Amino acid sequence: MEPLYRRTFDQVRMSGEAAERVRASLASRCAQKKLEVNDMKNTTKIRRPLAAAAALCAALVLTVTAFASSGLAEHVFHMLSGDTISVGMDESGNVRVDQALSGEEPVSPVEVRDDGRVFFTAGGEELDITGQFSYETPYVRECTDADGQRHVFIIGGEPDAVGWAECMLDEGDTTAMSAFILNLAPETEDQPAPWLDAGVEQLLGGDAELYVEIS
Amino acid sequence: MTDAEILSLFDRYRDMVYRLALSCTGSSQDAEDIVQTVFLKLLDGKTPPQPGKEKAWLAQVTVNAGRDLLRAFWRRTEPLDENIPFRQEEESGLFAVVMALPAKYRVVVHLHYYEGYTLAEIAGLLRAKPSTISMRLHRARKLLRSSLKEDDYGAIVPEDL
Repeated sequence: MEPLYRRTFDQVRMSGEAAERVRASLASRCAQKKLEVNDMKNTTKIRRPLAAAAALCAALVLTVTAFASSGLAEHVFHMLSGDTISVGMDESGNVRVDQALSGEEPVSPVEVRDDGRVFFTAGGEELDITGQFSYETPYVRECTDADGQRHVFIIGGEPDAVGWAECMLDEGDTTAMSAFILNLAPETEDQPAPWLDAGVEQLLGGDAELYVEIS
Repeated sequence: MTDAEILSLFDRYRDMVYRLALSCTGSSQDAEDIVQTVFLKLLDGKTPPQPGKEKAWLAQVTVNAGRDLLRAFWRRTEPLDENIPFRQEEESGLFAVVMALPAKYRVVVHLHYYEGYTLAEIAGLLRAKPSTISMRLHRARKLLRSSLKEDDYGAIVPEDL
């Protein structure tokens, strides 16, 4: 007998209308790509601020229920890496988040120098962390900003493709909220990042994963 | 990879990507968005799949896109608006209980029972330890068994899935 699960999900398909829409979009991009390639032959490549933003893989994590129950109209996270994340509620009571990317390269907490040594440079510190992180093992460092807010950096990867994440923890009297910015080297965005998983587990504890289930 | 090859892969694997995305997100709208995202990434060609491993590449990128979407906590959460005309009542019943599972269990169930991935392969896809995947599958089976019984589908045990 055909397994029930397979039989059931064989019937789950993308709607024909959606499939046509996506296919048309792909075909259009294919045509556009050809035009761009032809154009580039006679064009100087210009690096735009947008390119930096596109290379940034940003992700935010926040306990929405914590914000919703905080009674705050708006909360702003000033990340040490330069971005500002504001969280508020609209008139319908939906949580709204704006991430204001500076448009420039984010201020990396990691500096790989010419001699190959790696330094942690956030929060006014300059620590040689060479050999203290790898593809599997994170380097985790907590800093406190001038307002007393905690920022935790998770660094990992290989020296030629260092990734990092900044988590800002805001612990009030009755609520604890956090915002998360993630930067991966563009060439590793689709690859596993065991250092990140290990760092998040170390930061958030237990069986925590880098996503929240919205309630 | 040529444009024709990309469109051919879309025709061949769009439903596979859609089902997996639906398992990741629980939303048909989000799943359709992910299908588009995944194939646009394929078109971008920055990290192309190795020849012969296109399906595995699509599965990995789909899981990553699903994870990114769940990270985006500000996304709207809407109830699943699926009106699939299943042939049999037990199929619509199973679909409902599977979609009611927490996302992290649902995706493991789908990858294992539909796509036929081993626990080690799923661990690689989801960046988790095999023991974690094994535990999730065990818990998912337990939840499914419980839900199916509640819906008078007691004769269907998870091993029959």
